[in-house]
Amino acid sequence: MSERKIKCVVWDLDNTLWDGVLLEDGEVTLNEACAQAVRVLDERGILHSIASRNDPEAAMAQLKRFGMDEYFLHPQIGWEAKSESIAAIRQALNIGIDTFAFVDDQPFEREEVAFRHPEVLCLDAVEAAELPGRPEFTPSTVTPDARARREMYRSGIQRDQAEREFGGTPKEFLSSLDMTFTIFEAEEDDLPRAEELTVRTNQLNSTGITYSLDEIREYAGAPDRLLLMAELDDKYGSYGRIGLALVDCGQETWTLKLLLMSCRVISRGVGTILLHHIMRLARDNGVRLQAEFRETPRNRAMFVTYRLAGFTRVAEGADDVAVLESDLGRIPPAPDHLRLRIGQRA
Amino acid sequence: MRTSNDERTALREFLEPRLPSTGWSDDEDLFDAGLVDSFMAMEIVTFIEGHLGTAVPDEEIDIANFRTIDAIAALMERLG
Repeated sequence: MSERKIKCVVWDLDNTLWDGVLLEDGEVTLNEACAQAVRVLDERGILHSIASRNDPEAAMAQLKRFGMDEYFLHPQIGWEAKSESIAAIRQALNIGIDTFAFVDDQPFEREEVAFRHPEVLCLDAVEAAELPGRPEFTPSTVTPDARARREMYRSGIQRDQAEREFGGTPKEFLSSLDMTFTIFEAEEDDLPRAEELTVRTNQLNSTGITYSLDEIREYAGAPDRLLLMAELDDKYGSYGRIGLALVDCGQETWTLKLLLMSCRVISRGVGTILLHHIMRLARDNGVRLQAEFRETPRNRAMFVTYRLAGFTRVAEGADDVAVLESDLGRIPPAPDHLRLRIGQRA
Repeated sequence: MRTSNDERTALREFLEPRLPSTGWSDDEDLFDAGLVDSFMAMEIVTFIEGHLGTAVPDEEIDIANFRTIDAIAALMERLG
């Protein structure tokens, strides 16, 4: 179980995050051990939420007085069973149930959650101070994207709300986001995120082959190789570094070994921008452009992307990897609903 | 019995909210006009498969079959 990593901690409030019972005592004090655990784990990119039987308005107002309200995503404050609350948070965050921990002072609540969700790590409130020292709460690397993860989720929540309330067409909504798509050559700082993308991205992934940090490092800065990454920002904030391309740059032919795009941006109309950029680079360098594609159970969207960008299958390689090639004849410009920036990061 | 007009109507009902509402004709090049990117195309593939209840074979995933409303409707007719 030492491999297990927690991505979200769900906290009880009364006699856990604060000492006292809000609706009975009226006045409660912040439990510093729990508050400190929240702050430290937040820095590591671990998310927090709440499952509390309480009056929602009074409880949120109290969190605000403690300056803690912004740490919690999708807080569930009401009279539901806590197992229900955790199921709702899991659905809203779209992460695995086995990446959840639940902290509550009451054995009954912990047992109720453990019964319904045996995969959840259930802890007593008195153990809160030990959380940052436990391996499940210690990610192997903390990338800047991980540290900003809470902010990304928060801006995502605002964006989703704006989209639901938007009166126009999806295309008009995209234009209203004021997006900037930046493509840059990855540097040492970017490599952990590049590795993370090869592991975490399933749908928009041209081969599903994962790369270790060392393998990725071989692409950064090599004269005959290219490691490009892409970042997306809009008026609500950053989506982080969401795209990656590994290219072998031969004398006559470039080979796109891996192309991927995070599903965070799947509905943003940005999926072909990085590919079209590489097609333009190949054309400007006077080389042919081939791309490797390996079918996985989930990456058909990437096959469609290549095919509709004009790539055709030219060879079957080893290990089920097909080779596609583009004639570089028609390369559409970037869509007009965003700004494209090359080579300089925000 | 299904006619090509039914396909076209369903296709337009699917596409219209996803595209700018400026008038575009059945033979207008959606890719050149910047109206469709590849992910939009994936949505179209999914729509066709849901509508017809059959998979679009890999060899039919070709830009020529997706360039215009006419081309997509013809593809649907062929597969339907």
